[in-house]
Amino acid sequence: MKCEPWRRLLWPYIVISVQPPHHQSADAIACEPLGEGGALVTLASEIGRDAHERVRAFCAKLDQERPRGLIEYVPAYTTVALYYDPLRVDYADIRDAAQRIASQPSNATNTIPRLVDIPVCYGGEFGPDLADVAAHHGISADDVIALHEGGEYDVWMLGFAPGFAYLGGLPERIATPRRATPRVKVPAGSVGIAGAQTGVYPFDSPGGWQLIGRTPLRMFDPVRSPPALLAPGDRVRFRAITPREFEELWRA
Amino acid sequence: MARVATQFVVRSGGLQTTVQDRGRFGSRRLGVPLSGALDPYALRIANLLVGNHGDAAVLECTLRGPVIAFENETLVALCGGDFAADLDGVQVAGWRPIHVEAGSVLTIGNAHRGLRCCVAIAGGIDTVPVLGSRSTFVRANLGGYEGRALASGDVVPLGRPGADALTRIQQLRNKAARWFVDVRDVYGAEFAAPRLRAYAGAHAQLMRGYVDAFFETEFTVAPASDRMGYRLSGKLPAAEAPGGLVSEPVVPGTVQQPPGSQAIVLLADAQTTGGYARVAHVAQVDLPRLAQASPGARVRFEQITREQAVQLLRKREQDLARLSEAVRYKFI
Repeated sequence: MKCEPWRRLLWPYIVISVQPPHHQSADAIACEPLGEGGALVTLASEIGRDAHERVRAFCAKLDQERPRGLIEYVPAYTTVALYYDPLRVDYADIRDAAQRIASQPSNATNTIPRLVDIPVCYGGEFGPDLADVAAHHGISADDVIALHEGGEYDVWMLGFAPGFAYLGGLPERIATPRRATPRVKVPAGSVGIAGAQTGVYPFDSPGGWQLIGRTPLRMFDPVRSPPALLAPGDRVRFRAITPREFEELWRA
Repeated sequence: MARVATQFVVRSGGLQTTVQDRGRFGSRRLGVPLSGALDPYALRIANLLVGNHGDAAVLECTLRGPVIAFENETLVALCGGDFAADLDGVQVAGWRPIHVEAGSVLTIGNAHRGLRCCVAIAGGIDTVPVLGSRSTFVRANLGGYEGRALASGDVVPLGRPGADALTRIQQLRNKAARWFVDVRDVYGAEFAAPRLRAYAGAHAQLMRGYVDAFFETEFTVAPASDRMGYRLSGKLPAAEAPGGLVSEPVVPGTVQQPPGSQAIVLLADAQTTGGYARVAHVAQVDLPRLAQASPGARVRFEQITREQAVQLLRKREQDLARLSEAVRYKFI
């Protein structure tokens, strides 16, 4: 959303109170402290492909020009956190570096995203909620599988647990609310739906997502390099496999 | 010189004893929590006392400690909460280096005051680092000793003690330390009712009256509190958190306000991103106080600015540097 300078002059209070500053132009970025050793850079106001592209471009530039004192950074849907050592550098230095980097033209936006294929055994013991999801939408289980498998998804960020990818692109027709009662234990590899989101549980954990299948792939393996199967910016496709194929891939 | 311990055997694991260091930096973008000792002050002093590097890994005990046996001599230090502890039946105290003779058994019992204790051993715990850290993150079976809490029968490897540690082992063999580190100002007068310095977070300003209410409320640590975070119950007025927040990065010390009357202080094992309102941040220098609070403890917050929190952190670092020098002089 753009805001002309003259409008800002006329309606300063309304603009400032209703919209955070990062709405004002594509070039200026908002930056605020996050604890004593963090700077949170806001690059967009809402989740979407545009926000995702801006976050990716900003991170690519961060990789090229590591600001002094930066320890690591964490990209999210619309923001990037820069973590630094507050004993060595000041917040203002990191903020200035972030603003300088954000204003530089990016030259890395044309990288072709990696396409990752995730085999999924849908339904049965692996996807105990498949029938519920189908019933919720008044379609067959096969329709749910076809729609889930037919989609192409973007990894928008990692969070929640090591290697857990928040995926954008779930077909609206199978978006389903979370289960009323969460499960105490969801097995690792379970593929679930929660609202407009879909994702794969990397570890056995409690969870309330509707489980429609399971992948034999390890989403996170600390001795593998890189340890997470998915990285922000990847494109993902799910591919249906039989229980037999699941067993084979599981043993491999 | 006699042989120095290169491992120890766990006779009993205690309630929840894990290997921890200063944390797993560099993998948070993959969703891997920082982890590390919940009481980083205790971790650093314990390492400093036995002559270890500040990044060395220790055992973090919770509520009831382990029983561990050493075949060869070494040096240990117990820092954090006050735990009942003995070496072959002879009582030992915290916040000082303790010489362990070959063949001794160290028994760490229940916490008298506080909740957690860091046990540093000369050379540091030498399990294989995972993603650059030895810290255990139990929920993902990551790091530490097989990614889990210690259990009886485990044989835990120790690193080679450096020159500092070897000198101290030799000196303390004949003459026990008659001094200890005084930590009263770090933990405050009361383990059971910590006051935590904190400053308002990004979303607090958007919530009418919230900041004042937050700093006036007395909270109680709820039972559902662990290494991920502490849930604090309090008579907060029904705060209207801004709706439709997008998940954003969070850090240990971030105070989140989900709908309802409980606030959550995120700790070392917290997830890397969160979608609740960020209403405050606890000053890092006061996280050890919270780490030592048990369920039922009464917690109050004292408002400072973020700049003051950074100043406190710098001052803490200077104090640690001075302490390190002072300890060094004890062994000249």
